[in-house]
Amino acid sequence: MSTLLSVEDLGVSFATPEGPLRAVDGISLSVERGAVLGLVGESGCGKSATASALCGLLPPGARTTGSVRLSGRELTSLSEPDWRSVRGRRISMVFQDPMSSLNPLLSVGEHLVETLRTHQNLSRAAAREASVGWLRRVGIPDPAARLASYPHELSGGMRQRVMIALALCPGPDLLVADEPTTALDVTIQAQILDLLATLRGELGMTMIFITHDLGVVERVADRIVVMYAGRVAEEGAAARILSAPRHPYTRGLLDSVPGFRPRTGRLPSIPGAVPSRRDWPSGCRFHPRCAHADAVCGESVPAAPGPDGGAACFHPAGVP
Amino acid sequence: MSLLEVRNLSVRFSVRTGVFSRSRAWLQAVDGASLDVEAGTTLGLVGESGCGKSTTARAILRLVEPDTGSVVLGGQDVRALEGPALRRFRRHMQVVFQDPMSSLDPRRTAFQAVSEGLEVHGICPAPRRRDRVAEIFRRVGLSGEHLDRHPHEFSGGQRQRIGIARALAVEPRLLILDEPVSALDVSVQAQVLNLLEDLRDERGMGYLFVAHDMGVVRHFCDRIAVMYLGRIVEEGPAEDVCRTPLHPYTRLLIDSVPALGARAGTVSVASGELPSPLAPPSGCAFHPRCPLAVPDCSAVRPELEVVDGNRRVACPRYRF
Repeated sequence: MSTLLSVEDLGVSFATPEGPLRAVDGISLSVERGAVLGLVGESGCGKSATASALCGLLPPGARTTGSVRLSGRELTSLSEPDWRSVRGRRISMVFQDPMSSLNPLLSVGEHLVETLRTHQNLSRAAAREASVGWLRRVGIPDPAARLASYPHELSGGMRQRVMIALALCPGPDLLVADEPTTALDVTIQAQILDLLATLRGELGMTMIFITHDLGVVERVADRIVVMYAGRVAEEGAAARILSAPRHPYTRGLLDSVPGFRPRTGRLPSIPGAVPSRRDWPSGCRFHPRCAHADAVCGESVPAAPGPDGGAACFHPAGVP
Repeated sequence: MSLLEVRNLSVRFSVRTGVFSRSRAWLQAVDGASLDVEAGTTLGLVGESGCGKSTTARAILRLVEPDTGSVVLGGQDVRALEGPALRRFRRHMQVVFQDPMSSLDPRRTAFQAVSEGLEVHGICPAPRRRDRVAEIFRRVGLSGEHLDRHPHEFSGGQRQRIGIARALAVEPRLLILDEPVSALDVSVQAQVLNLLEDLRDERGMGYLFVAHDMGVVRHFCDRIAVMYLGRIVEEGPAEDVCRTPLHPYTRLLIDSVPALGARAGTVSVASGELPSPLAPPSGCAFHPRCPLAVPDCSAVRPELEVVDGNRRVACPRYRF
């Protein structure tokens, strides 16, 4: 397999009235062609800011440092006009709330035809035909009739299917899915996860799947990156991370999911709360909440996981 | 006799059928729900969005008026109460909502929010109120220095603790928890669930826990009632319902949860989506999505039948 996306030491800061606020603080990761990388973390860990940076969708005033390369091409230095030839065609996105990504005044058909014609040299009739094909592919019943529907006439699950069709129809190299099933009911979520798995098989899709839900990430990802307070806490093969986490944060997160195991007394919990971006702790940012922390954890920053994965921790579990 | 006895509760809303339309239709949000909550135990009410679980909770609290049915709390017929008598009785049934930010007044301090109930119900004379609230704060894991802060100064988990403190202050016998941890990060969710469990055991309150997350419900509840399109389709001990669900809808719900430990490909994803509650299917409302359905299912609406002594299921074909 070859590397499609490589992110090195990516930093993202947002402009605020009180000065720049660092949301992502030097993360590195890479995605192999055809693989699915799960990016996991709680609110404020920087996973969505990372997604926005990858898609060139940061708000004005935001600054990025480091490097993001897609098939060797540097993206952080792209101008907005250059981004337009990358976004959609090379990197495509699906967000949590399809209603806010779809134009309420355009029908499903208008969305698809416009997207297809922007990226491919198609006649209107050919684009319409291709649109019907895409709706069928994402499991929308009676696709020809659905072209005339408006977003508000569709259920949440159907809207997300339309968003997936829109994201995939230009044939992107990479799909970034930011909490794509979080707003859906669990039975519909299962359908969408199945759809993504099917499409991945058909199209050989490469995907970054961002979620806070460890159960969802287990179902979709080959590799997992766990983020905490703007940094990578742990990286590795999905099965390894979920069965033998090395970072105490990953361990705590997994333990505190009220899982589908019979209950065995109280739910283990991580003390304290996720720190605010305005007030990140020194050293290892998890140290104030960590049962294994000692003096060094509060003073020094642990090394980030290398290319083969591992934990950014001075006292990782399972490593002598 | 149970602490809370709900019998044959129905709620319907009159809704406009189109944006500009004057025609109205009845939406049967809750259709003949019966449930019991024992003191010192938790009944989980689960289902997907629009199934009527929150409306059931609100009807019990008389925040919406039921059409038919009875609600008896501690021997008192709640539906027979009006005006000041109802207001006085409300101290016995309190509620914690999902989003504490929208249920707390942004201009009032945490102390004011929590002491309001003490004042309204005349529970604690004014000079002693501050000490009393400080005591409740300590019990829910907040400290005295939090008393004079405003909601925006708290994290999500802390705000939910304020919501719990406010409900506890009037010493209710029944606490209705409407998705109390759904908006919280996993690591904080576990803390709040543990706190709620301790409080229930200390004070012998009965909990009605409305949730959509089967993992949380399995961990937290003694019994579970599953709702689909306004009707309870299954009810029983939490562990039994999760381990051996009887109703085909409960099976779908549990199979759909991306559970830790259950790898991809093991899930039977039902086709179809939730039907419109404005036009529920005839007979058993689940029949269009049900893998076990036979022609009779669209004709006869099944009632809850007792199974194995302490379980109830509304499906004549659950053995298949």
